[in-house]
Amino acid sequence: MDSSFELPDSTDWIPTSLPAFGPLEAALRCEVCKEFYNNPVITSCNHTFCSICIRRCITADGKCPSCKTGCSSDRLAPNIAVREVVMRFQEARPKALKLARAGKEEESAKHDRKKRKLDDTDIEEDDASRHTRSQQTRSRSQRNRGAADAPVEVADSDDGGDEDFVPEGMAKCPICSRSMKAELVYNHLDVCTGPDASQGRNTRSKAKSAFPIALQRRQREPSPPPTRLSQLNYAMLKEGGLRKKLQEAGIPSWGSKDLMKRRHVEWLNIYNSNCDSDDSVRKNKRQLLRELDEWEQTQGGKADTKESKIMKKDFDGEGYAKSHKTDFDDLIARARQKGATPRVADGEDASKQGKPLDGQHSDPRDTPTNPDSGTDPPPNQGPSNTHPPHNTHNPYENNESALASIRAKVQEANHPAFKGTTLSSERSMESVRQRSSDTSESMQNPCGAPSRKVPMFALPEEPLRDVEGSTAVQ
Amino acid sequence: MHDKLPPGITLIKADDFQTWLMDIRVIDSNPIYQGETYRLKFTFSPQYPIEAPEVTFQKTETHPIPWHPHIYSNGIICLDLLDRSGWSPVHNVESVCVSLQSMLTSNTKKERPAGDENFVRYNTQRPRDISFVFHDNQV
Repeated sequence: MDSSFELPDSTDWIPTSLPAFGPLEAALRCEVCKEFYNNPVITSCNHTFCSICIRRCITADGKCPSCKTGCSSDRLAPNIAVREVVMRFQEARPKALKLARAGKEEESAKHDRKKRKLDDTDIEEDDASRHTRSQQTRSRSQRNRGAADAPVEVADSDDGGDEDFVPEGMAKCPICSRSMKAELVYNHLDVCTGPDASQGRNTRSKAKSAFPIALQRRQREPSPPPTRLSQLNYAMLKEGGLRKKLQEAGIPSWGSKDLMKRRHVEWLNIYNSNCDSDDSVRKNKRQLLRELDEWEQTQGGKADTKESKIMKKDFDGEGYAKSHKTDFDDLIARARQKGATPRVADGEDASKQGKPLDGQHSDPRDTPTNPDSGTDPPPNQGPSNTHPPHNTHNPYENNESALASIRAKVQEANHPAFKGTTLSSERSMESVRQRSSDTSESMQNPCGAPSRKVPMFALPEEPLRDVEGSTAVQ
Repeated sequence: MHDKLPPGITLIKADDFQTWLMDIRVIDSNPIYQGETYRLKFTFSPQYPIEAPEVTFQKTETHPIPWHPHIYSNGIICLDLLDRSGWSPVHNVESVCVSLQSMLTSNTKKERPAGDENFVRYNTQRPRDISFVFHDNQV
């Protein structure tokens, strides 16, 4: 693991002069998440956990994790004494740990001095190399030295620092960059007074932005303890009803009923555990929504599950096509090369049996797996790419009607560069045009289409009408 | 977190929060497990610790699968602690290792579970999806 990734842990005390602080610190940590108690609550069986941890456990199996007796979340009560102890311990920890480490160093230094004479720096090096862990953690304590007196955990430190975060279903006003429900932005734009009117105000819901500033300011003052939300009877609710409830609660309301249920349960856990917190560290709804978004990314609807994402209904095909564009390009180029090779041999036959039909040239060209495009240069190589001219020539030999129709098509295709050109050499010009129109088409839509319109390996719907008689290839 | 592990338990690999490898030995002189080290593979889901990790023995050249009436020869362990019903979020990697150590220590039968061969051959499920029946309270 990264050496910069250091976490305070109760084992930090083991190599110090105060190893007894290890169990003390362990006792101040939640047994579920192994962190310091965060908003500790006590259960009806008298066990203490972080509010969010025990709420999640109860959601999972309704039992106390320690003693396995039944538990319910409405019987949890904040454990204020533990909260206070944990807070004070965390404040004192960096300094105490530093002292305890220094104490240990002194001890071992004394020990060393008996054996040999060393100056101070040598002792430190010696000590450090022996206790690699203590060395590692000492560097941290040195880093913390300046802030040794400050609490370790700075509550709400990210409040206001995350202006870019826009919760699900919210959008930012382009003028005053306040976030609000997406559907309200247009109405808001009519009355928006510009960026100055509400600068600095951390408004996060439409209801508040409609209030005068004086009223908004009241939000900043310590509010009375919010009331806990109660569970819904999910079995009784239909999908639409649940969606409505989620919208009322101001949380994302997309996804299946099961997902919405899980999201609502998690929202209750997050929200209610915030109710168990001390006034001074109580988070605002925006932060809670961010926590819910985190849950969404890791365990909710946006979780990167191992199951194939492509098979999901809400799979973002366009995004996937974009991010894998180079792969697709590569595959298409390779498929075209393959398609082109046999046609060289079959070219003569194809020209005879391939009977072009007027007005249908453009259609097969649209389908990405169209074998016709086998002769096209891949889009990234540009039209200057050399390619065997006879491929395009042959099918049109002895077939003036086809040539005429293609010419008409090409004229339509809006290529001013070619419009005024006189066709001195019909055949070669034709091939150039054919190529350039194809190329421009694949330039406009280089790869987006293949993944969505037609499955990669499915046969195109109209392969047989291809002017080049690609049946021979297939 | 696990710098000071109980005797007989060694952390092998913990690069991420998905898979950890641990080695365990049986400390006392149980003749069945004498001189052998067993490798445990922990697989964590994003729901850990609310949800139990998936714990199996891994067979390598130097690490056999221990003989035990509740350990299948493909490494799958039948232990209520690791099942949905028996798991508790207060458990951690260390406590699971200790439990397995003691489960091995107390065992006197050098045998596989009944139906081991069939199970090993036909099982395609992941351990967490298998519904074990826990009948033996001696372990």
